[in-house]
Amino acid sequence: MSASRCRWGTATAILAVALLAAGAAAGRAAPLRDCTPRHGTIVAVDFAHWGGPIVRGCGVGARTGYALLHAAGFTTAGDAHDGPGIVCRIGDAAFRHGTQYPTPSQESCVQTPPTTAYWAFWLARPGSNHWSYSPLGAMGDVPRPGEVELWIFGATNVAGTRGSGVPRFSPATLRAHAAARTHRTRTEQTHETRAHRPRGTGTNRPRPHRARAHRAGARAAHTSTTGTERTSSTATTTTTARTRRSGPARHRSPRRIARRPEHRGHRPNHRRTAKSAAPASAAASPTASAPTATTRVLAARPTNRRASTGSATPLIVGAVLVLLLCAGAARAIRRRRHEE
Amino acid sequence: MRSPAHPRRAARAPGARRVPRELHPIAWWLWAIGLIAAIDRTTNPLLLALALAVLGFVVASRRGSAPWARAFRYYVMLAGFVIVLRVVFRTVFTTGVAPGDHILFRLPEVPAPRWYAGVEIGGPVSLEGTLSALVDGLRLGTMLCCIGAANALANPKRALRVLPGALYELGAAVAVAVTLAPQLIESVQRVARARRLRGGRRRGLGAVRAIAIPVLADALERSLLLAAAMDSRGYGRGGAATAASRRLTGALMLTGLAGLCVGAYGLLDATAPPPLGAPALLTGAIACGAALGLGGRRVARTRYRPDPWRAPEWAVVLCGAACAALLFVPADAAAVDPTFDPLRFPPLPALPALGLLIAAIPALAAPPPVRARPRAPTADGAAEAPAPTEPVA
Amino acid sequence: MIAFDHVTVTYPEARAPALADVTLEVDEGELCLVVGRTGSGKSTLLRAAGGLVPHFTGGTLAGTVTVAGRSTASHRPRELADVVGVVLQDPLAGFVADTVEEELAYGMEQLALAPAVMRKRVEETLDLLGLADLRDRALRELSGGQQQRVAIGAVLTAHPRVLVLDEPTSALDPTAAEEVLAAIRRLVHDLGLTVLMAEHRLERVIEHADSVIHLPGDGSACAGAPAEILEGASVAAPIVQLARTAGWSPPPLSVRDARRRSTGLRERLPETPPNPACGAALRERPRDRPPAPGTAPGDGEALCARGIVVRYGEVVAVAGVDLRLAAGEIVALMGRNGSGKSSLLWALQGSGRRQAGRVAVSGRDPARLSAAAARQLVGLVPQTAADLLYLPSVGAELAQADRESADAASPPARALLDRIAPGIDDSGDPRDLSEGQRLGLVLALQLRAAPGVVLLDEPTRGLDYAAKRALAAVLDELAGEGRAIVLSTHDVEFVAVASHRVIVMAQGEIVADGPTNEVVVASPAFAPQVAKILAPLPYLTVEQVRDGLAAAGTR
Repeated sequence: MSASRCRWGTATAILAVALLAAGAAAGRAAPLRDCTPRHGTIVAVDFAHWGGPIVRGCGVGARTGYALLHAAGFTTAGDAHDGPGIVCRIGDAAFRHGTQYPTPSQESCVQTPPTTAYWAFWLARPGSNHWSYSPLGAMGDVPRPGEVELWIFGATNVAGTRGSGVPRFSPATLRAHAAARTHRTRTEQTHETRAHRPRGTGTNRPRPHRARAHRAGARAAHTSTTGTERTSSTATTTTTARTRRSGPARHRSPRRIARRPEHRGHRPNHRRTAKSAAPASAAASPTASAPTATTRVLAARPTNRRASTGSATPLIVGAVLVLLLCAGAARAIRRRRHEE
Repeated sequence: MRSPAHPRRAARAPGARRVPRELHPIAWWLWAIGLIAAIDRTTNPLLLALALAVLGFVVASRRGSAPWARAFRYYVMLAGFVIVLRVVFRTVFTTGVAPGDHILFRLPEVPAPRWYAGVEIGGPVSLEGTLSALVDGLRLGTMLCCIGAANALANPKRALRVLPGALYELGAAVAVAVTLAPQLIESVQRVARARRLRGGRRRGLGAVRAIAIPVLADALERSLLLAAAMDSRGYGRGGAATAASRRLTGALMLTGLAGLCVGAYGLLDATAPPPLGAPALLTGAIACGAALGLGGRRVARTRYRPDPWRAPEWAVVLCGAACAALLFVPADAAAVDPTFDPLRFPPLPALPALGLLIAAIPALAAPPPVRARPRAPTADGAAEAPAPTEPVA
Repeated sequence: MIAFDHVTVTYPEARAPALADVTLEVDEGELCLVVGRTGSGKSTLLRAAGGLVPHFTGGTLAGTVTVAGRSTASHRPRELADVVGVVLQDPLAGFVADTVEEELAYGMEQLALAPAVMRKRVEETLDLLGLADLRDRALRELSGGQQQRVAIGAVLTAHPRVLVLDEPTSALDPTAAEEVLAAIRRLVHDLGLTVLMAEHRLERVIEHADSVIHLPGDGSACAGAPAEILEGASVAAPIVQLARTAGWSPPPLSVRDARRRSTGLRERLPETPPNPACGAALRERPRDRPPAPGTAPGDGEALCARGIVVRYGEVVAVAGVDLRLAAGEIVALMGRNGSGKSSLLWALQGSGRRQAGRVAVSGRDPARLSAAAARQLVGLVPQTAADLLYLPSVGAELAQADRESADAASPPARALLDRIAPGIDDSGDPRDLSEGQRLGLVLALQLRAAPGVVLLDEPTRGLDYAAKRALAAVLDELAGEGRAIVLSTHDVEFVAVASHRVIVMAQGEIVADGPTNEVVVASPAFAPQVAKILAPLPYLTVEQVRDGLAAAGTR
């Protein structure tokens, strides 16, 4: 009797723990500064294929890479064939109001995307400074504290060594505590180089405006941030004050960045374990990783998901058509029964 | 809905009614294939429901009265089973919940070990996940119902008669198997009932043996009798084929099949050299066609009352083709494949919906089905054989 | 038209040849009957004429068989399809198509005839065989007689010169058999076909035969005119036996001829036969007459059934039947196909469905008991006896029966089998036995449970006269032990010999129930040949005539 009661008690305890664990599977967002080499996982998405920045977020306690993406504020879409487990589209409010890329016109996401254009999933293990291709997908991968996960869109060959889907920068540039020093020294450089860099896309945009805006933004960033938190020349922060100013910059940025940036040299060794200083803003401030001069890193923002539910008119029209056809079928069946 | 049997219009001249006849089975199959190709292009639940309604409408209007024509409902049940299975699987093996999803309920979670990572059992069940599983199953189920509709509308044995001469024996074997299947079922019923006469106490393997052996022995004997009957009625009489032409046929067929395989591989693999794609496929198809034509000379037989191919057949085939074509027209991808994230009412794209409605036209374009004449009850009634078991439907 | 020239057929692994040095000829336009006991080689002879031996059945054929000028050695059966049409025993097993019309057209399709020719011939054949209103029907829904006619029509559309039929009327009730025989006769007389057919129940056929081939059983064959061959044949229809008894030579072959010859016999015989028809051979009955239906149950009542209703969906097979069986009584259940005989027997045993009604055997209802207990009350031998056999050897089946009925008070199954059908050894495969032996085996298996009531569903199908005599003797023995026996059959001759009482069913109801000598004589279609010949004298069997002559002779 007591043995059975003991068994029941154990079972309920396990059940309770499991239910609690279920709630904890999703993970939660954390400010970027919380992601240290010992705690939290950084996840970054590189929208360079569409001329966008790298958007980076931090998640704590996520059980899978998929949950980590969502915890950090990204939205994903799967494909019809494999379900949400295959990441077919990623979007974030920090990049073009959260539009998910690739768009339906670029990739229908009915079948699994081909290896010539898909979201490649790279991992940098805690303490490692090179990327390794993840052996598991978003649902299978378990994020470890201090790890950096990168989603980059492009093509990869079978060996994973060539293609636009292979990251050309180091994980260190994405980890938190990318040295502010290096950024400070570099932002001026990048100003100049950017201003004179030949435009790959060939669109003529008012560069001086942008440069000015960048400088303005950078100066503003300089003045408003302390410590290691820093904005790059074209980076924007999530504070509302800067949003407006960085708005136009953000809109125009995709046209500037067309090519995979080649970067050599600046690989600061970021093995600091100290937590960063208190941030200026509540949300995670972006840190310029500057893999090249032209790539920005933004902080992930959760998209406002309460979009409109759409109009119900097509549903009603469709239901009416279906009912008409069913009525026709019923009539045919009744007539057949009369005749037989 | 205008129909020839509409009461008001029956007052017209009786000759204005269309003569009932059975449509050529290939016409129905091509129509069904067109519909399958169209359904494959979309995951919009409204379009899928519309396709299902179209199928039901056409089958109800134009199916015959033979026993095989009543099979459509079983396909619908199978489709429902597929949908339920998908939803259950998605519920149990939840594949991740986005933060904005509507959670329906939570199942207790069973974490998988790391070496078997990738499987998540239990956890929260979201509305979006359930709906996407539902639509996925609906798509597969609708395709199954297309095949069911083709089976219900086209006599399967008459469809087999259209096979080219080279495949005649294959078609004959399948036709005989289809004929004998009810006999096998009846045999099993008879033997199962006879088992009770010997006590019927054995269960499990012994029971299977007690039923299987008499049935199989019976089936074997009947098949030998059937083979003897077919042989003595002339089945297998040789045609105008020599050994040389047979060798040529074999060589052509092998080349053609190899060409088809290579061409299919070439088309699917983007890195293959160009000659390996469409040209190889085309060459292979031509060689196979030639082999079939040459091999048909081996079998000399004629067809009794072959099905004609007239205007209604063309109309049905063109409707199916038009439906497929309209769904291949590049349309708003978000409307044809709506996402569930965020959850919103599904749209109804105009051209695809029009295509599916065009696929409903055969319900009116095809000639009315042949109704079985009411049988005058004879004093003899049914044969002796059905009476002890079950009467024939 | 058909010529056998020193033909010897030996099957693989057979001890003796099935046919040994057979030489005979069948002329054009003849209806030739092949007679002989079971296992005497009738099927082999027919299949050799059709070309199926040895191409299809295996074995060695020595000598030549020539059909319409073509030798079967150099022509396979499919190449003989336009001269020989073969209809084997089970027509349903030989059907290829779904409907009647397609079945008729199938043979012509294989011969590559032009579509216009095919359509014309199909119409002609439908008219010739009276199948015009069946053309769209599914083959499985036809009655036995209709199926047989369709099978004949299907080979007829190829316009063969020879028709080979293997027992066409064995499974048919008398009316359907008459239809088929009439169709065959019309083919012979109107179209000039040559027909070669084998038949067990000769009484219907011998008056139409033009020649007879007799196979005594040792592999030889002798052919000739019917009267002279049948006079000395090993199988004899009742009319021939009567002729032998009465000393008529050559024997008359039709009832009309026999009646003309029988005036003298009728005067000699006593008014009533000295012995009853049934049980004349064996032992004394406890009672001579069964109790009349509707009387109060006596001590010897074995089964009482009231208001039995059996329904398959819409079709009512048995509509409210009352039945009483007395112990030691043999009852014959007659009626055309589809009148509900099988359904009634299965309902009485308890394994078949029964929608309403009560059955009481020794106070218990078999349907409410388990299968093992029910078979100890009522034993049933079904129509296809082979359905019950699933073990690889006879010995295994007997041992299994002993295990199944370990508690029943009856001798072991082996002893029962030896009593019923002697000469079957343990190592044989049950499926290699002849029809009569298989029936005996299944009967022994069912009797091992020592039931008080034994039911047999169509036991006489496929049995020759000797086997039927043996079966009648076995049934007499069982009845003498106090069991009640019911058998359903079409064979009036067997009913006359074997049963005390006859029940006639039609459309699920009993239309006649009385002693054999009253019921079978009352209707011309059901009367045995002897009764038809010696009417109005109430003689049913040749044994009765023999006893009558003996009694008259001693007077």
